[in-house]
Amino acid sequence: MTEISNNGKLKPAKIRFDEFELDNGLQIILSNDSYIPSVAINLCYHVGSKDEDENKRGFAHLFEHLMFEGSKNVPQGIYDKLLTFAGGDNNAYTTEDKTNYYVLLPSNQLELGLWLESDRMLQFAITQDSLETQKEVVMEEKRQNIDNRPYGTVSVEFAPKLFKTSGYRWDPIGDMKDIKNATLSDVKNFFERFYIPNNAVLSITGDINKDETLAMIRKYFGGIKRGKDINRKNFNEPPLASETVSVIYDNIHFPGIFIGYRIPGEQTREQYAFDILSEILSSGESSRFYRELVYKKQLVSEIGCYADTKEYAGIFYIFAILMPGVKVDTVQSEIDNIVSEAISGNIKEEEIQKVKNRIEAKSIYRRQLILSKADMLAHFKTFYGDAELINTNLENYLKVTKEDIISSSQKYINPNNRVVLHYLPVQDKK
Amino acid sequence: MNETGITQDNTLDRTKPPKAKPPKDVHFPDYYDTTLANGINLLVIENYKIPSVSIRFVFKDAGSYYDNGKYGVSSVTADLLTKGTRNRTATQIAEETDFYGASLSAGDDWDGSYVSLTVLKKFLDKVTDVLADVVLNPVFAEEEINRLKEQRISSIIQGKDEPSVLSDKMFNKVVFEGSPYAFPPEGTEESIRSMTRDDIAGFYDEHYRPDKLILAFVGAISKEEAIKIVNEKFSVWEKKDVEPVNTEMRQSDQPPTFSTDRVYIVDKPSSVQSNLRIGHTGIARNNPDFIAVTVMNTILGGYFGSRINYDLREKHGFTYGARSSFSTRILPGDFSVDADVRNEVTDSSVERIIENLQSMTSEEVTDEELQTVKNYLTGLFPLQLETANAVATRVINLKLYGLPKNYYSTYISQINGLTKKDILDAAQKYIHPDKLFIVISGNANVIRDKMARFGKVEVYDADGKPEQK
Repeated sequence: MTEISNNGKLKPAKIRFDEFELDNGLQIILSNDSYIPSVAINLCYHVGSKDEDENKRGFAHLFEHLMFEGSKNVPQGIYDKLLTFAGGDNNAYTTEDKTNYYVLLPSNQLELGLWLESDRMLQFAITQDSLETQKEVVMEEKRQNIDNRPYGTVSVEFAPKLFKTSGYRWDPIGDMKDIKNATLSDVKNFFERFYIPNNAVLSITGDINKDETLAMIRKYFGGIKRGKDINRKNFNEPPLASETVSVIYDNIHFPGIFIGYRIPGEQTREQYAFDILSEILSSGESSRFYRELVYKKQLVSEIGCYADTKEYAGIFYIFAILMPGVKVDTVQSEIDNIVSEAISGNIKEEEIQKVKNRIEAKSIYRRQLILSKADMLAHFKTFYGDAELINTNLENYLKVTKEDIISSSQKYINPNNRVVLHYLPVQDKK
Repeated sequence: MNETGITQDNTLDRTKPPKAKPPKDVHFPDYYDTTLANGINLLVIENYKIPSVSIRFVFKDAGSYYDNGKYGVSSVTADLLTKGTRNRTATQIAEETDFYGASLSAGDDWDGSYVSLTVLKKFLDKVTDVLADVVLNPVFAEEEINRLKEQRISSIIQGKDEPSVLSDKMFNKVVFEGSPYAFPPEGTEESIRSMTRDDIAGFYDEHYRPDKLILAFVGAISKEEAIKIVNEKFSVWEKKDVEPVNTEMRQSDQPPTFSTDRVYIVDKPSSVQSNLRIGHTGIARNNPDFIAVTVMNTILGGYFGSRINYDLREKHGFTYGARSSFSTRILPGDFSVDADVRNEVTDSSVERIIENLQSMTSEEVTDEELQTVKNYLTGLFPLQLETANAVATRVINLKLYGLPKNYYSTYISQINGLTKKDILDAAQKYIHPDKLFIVISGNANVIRDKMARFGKVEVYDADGKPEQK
């Protein structure tokens, strides 16, 4: 799997894959890796919470739950049973932009996985009982991951403050009122609109034979009808005009600061620059935030930042949890100073090289698992029509210069383009 | 590439699942295993899948179990290794490893203390020196100790915001009363405050030693390269004669000795859910019934399709997820069922859990349940061997827990050999529905009356203090 390059240093092998498209529009990517006798089947539907109607918030995620509740030839409860009986595992996740399903199986059971996935795409077969139970489960998921978790409401608070017109203005968990009111015909419409072969990318990695696998895919997916072209909403978010600062009281001991700047989306020139900037600020104990605020001044117990980039826009997040007795204003101005210093151009070449070395290492570690390869291939194909990014994307990071960081930051990292949330202990509420 | 002329397969019968092809064999990879003159157990798990190398130090008999009343000292010692040596400051260590994209970390659990380094092969020779330095020459400077203590105390206080942390602490306290396992491995506010440099340096001197060390080289590295590094950096390190001791009561491998008729509530008045932990002591990692217990527990609550998750989530919609687990260590850890359920169904959920435990211990599982879980565990086994580090973790476990050398090569056949009677025996031997500890963190005012039917309700605050009557 590893080749020796001319300079004698080890470098990772290119990931090889083949692409196909069925007449019904289903995109297919196949990549062999026979290191273990297993396969990963990944099916990415290009629908997320931002595609929901504004009075049906949370449908993409609710629908993810319902996809496990039976299909035309697979009665309720049987999808999981058949997969586990075959020695497989499966799960799914929903973001603002996509709903992604995966199955892991011993490679001799590949056909079963394709039969199950194709049956879910074929026809809507959800019952009222399933819908009612999964509404309860989704509401428990929200209670567990958001309401009952310290600082758990951050993403729910940020969304409507950072975005005003697009579907990014609500969190994928949605509005529990809309979830409660969801009817069977609502979810059926959602299925018919988005769960169609021409809105999906199927990637399969692992111990596969290309020709046999393609023949199986044709057999099970070839007969599924193409759906109507999806009329996507225009993304037209005006820039934020002024800074928003909100105080939120939560069941916590120590204040937290959460800052979000609106930035451009994934695979833009700015994304690479902001990823590099976030690493300079927060990656490793030699990073600026850790060294100054955790280590030297001991003002925070945790601090971090990252560029969360989506299909049409992104957020540059900074978060910090304060040490006992430390004031929010103190840390807020320390953070602002550190960021200003970096984006004014006071960055050493050595710092950029360090970050590039770290990004290179991470990009190589991600290539070890068949599942993460299947996920990346489908992601790059779905959003950028270019699965080859799995091999070439690292170059986009290695090209970033100090000037790129300065120019991207000057445009987007300023107070008028941000939302600041100060989480305070509820007992401090006057 | 657009495809043309696809033929519609009208003969396709979608109503029946397709048949599987014959399964392929799964091989556990070979590895190199030797013991050096100073007692180091050297392992080399060679694998060129990606051009990366990990070097992993595992010190046996060096975990929180050996805190000896200085709760947290094992964990604080590990954290301080990377915070300054005779040759480097904490900042220099971070800069040196970060620059080469290496990740260097140290930590501990109940059974051991760990240092590990992962780096791309091309930078390996740049960072072995700093790795050897943090393992052999830590200085435990007062300034670093004080900084770490402040951070640790803040983190312990912050833990009181988390429902699962509150339940964990109370559960361990009542289930493991009289054992080191009753205390939090990260320490308590008091134990951390009173910890001294002597406590930490003493722990290091006693426990970090070549004769207790499993040293694994993992990934794109040969046996010869590994031995060369060990000879250069660790050959002068001398073994010790005195065994590490634990001065506190050791725990026996017996089932819980008393049944409880109490329910412990840690009050978190703002809670919209109850975090449940229901269980008792479990088994040690080297228990000969481990694989039978694993299969039994998987059927009970160990995977999505398990009885408990199916009942609480899919059938009743009480929770986002419920599971059961055995935490296995050198000595028996705990068995527990965990779930977050909404306040109104707290008592119904406890009742459902107890009924599931009762039926698990009174009747044989079905053929279908057993075969499903056998297939599930054996089918996923190759995915647990997908990375060099995942293989290494399993090899290290063989050594750390004294498991037979052929443990993983016979793992699949051992699972497949289990019968329904074996599963019932394991359930009856290791699950005791009449001796359960019921611990809940949640809103006491809302749930306390309803919980009275399970036993006498005791309410504690987030600091573990009993409610004032």
